[in-house]
Amino acid sequence: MKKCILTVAPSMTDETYSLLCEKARGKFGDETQFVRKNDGGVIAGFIMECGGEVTDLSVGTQLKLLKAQLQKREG
Amino acid sequence: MADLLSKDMIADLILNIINILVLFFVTKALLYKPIKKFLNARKERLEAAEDAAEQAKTEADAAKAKYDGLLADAESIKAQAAERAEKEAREQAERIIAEAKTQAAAALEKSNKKAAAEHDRIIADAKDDIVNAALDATEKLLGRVVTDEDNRRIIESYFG
Amino acid sequence: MENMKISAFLKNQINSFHPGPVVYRKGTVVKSGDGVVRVNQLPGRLYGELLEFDGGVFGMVFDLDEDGAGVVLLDGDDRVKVGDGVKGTDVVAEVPVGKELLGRVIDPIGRPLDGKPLEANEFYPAERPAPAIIDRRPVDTPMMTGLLSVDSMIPIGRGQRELIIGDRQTGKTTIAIDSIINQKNSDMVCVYCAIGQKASSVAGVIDTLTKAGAMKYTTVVAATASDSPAMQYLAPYCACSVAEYFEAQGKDVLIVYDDLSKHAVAYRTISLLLLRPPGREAFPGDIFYLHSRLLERSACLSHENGGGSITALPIIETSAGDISAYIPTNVISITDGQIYLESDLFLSGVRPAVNTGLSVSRVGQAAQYPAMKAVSGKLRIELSQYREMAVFARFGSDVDPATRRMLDRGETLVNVFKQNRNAPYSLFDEVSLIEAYKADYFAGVKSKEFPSEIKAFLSALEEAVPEIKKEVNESGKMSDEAKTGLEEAIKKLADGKKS
Repeated sequence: MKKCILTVAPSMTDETYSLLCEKARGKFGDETQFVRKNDGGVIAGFIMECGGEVTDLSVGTQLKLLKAQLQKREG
Repeated sequence: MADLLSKDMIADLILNIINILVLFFVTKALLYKPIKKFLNARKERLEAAEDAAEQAKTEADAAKAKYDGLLADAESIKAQAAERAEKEAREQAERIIAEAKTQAAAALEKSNKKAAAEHDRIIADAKDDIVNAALDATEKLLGRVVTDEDNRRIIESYFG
Repeated sequence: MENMKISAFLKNQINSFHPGPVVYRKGTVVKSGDGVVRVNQLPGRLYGELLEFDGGVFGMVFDLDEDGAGVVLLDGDDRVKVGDGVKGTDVVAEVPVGKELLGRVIDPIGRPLDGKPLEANEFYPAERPAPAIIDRRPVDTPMMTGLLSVDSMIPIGRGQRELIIGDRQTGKTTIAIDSIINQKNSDMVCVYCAIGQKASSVAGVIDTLTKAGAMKYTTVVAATASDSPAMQYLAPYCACSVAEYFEAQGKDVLIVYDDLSKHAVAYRTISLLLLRPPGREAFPGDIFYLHSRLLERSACLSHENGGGSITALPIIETSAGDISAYIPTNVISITDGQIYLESDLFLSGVRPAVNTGLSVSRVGQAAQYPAMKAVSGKLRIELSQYREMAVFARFGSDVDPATRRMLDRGETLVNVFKQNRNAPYSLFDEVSLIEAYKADYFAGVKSKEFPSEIKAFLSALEEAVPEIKKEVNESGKMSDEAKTGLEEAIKKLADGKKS
């Protein structure tokens, strides 16, 4: 049985979480077991880790990437 | 007269004349010649001494003239050396000043570059601080304003 | 004004930012120690891939198996703990390349070590295939080192691999550095790769190159003794990639690997820590391939492929003069010749301490300028005959006049070959010195007086025949008239010396 860790913001409701699991099951198969992890740094969206592959759709990560881009030195 | 000039008197006269002649010749031979020789030698010595003195004087005059010439040369050399030394000192002073100016210009350029780099660094640091503050504020704000609808939208946009 | 610049930059960056899903592969550290980490999972891992651990530490995949990967850390091995996450970067070890690397000092993964930022637009992987046979052409252009003993008897061509081998403190690095300095008036680009050297030594080399004005066409890639074995392993491959960028532009590049003995030791360390089976002298079985694939990348490309070249001067340190040890024999069999430096010669004052009997250039006179080829033909034989005879003369035995003359000329030749460090000769200087030796110009000169005699001779010759100097240095050839003119000038100087 495949194990999938879903890291979400604590404010995500159970309904939305269930929707997420449903959509993810469509991608990884019905046998997939989902584990919820709460992380305030996510802010919105989710981080999905399954079978060593991580898909990060969190707003927190996007902000970090934006910060890194803005802090790049001018060439 | 003939009575006057007796035979004795004539003999005396002749003897006296012979005497005088002998005396003359003896004196000439024994006295006059040596004395003359002595006097001639003395004259020659004196003349030689005079010549030598004359020559010495001439040589001394020549030496003096030469010395005066050398002295004049020395003065001229001294003057030239002094002029050369002054010129070299002047050139060295100019070289030192030029070098100092170059070094000062290089130091100024270096410090200008350093200042410009420091300025750029301060600006870049200020930019980073602005970005940090802005995104931290954004993070805090988003934490408050994000709704469940936003979460759903993200899920739908990824999975379709 | 500055505010406007900052806000314009920020606006531009924000507009060019496109948010989207971030996908990466993840693994977990299951074992860590001695700079080697065992990672679990991490699907799609590549051999040689750079991995990023939590805390910003980087490592390189050296072992792949079904369950995970063996990773060697590039630095910071005390910061990785069991249970830490590791991300795949999809990037195999690479190094920044480009003209901006000239004059710079970098580490093998391209981080600047000279305190200035480095912005590179292009990256080459550390491991790249060597040029195919069909893409090469024969070595036919000389690479002058400026060292008389090397250029006359062990000539090196552009695209050749010439090993510099000898015990410690015999002048191996000096020969390499002098070769780099001598490229000042040529179009060659130079890369100096320091592997496992002391940081003070590397700093000394950089200082020497800077003072000689050589840094402006040189890049230094340094993995010092305090860097991890993985960095020391990567260093020569990354340095070669830097050189290959310029080669691809059609330029001729000189690369020095200082030294490959330490490179072999670093690779042995990594292999043993990864529990690979040890072979002879505990080196892994692919130790030959470690150096052969590196040195095969130094080549002379055909004109259809740009005509560029990489000339390699790998350095190997021997122990007690043993060139039949494992690593030295490996590298000797790979390279196109070797310059063998002897401790005895060095200590007796013969510097560069080149043993011409054991040194060879397999490219030979094809890599010599015509002017040098015309004068240097018999030097090796004369030197070899002198060395043989000198053994007998040492025992005080009486020798006949012909042998005495040979001994005297041989001793003169040895003195003519002595050269100060960081003072390379031009082609004309070298040719003139050989011609002067042949004309017995230096006969009767005592050993101690040679440096001043040579200096005086070369300056007098420069004044006497500047047009011949220009002709030889620019064209590499010496016409018959020029040769006659040179011989006459030397004869005149010799006559002037006698009177």
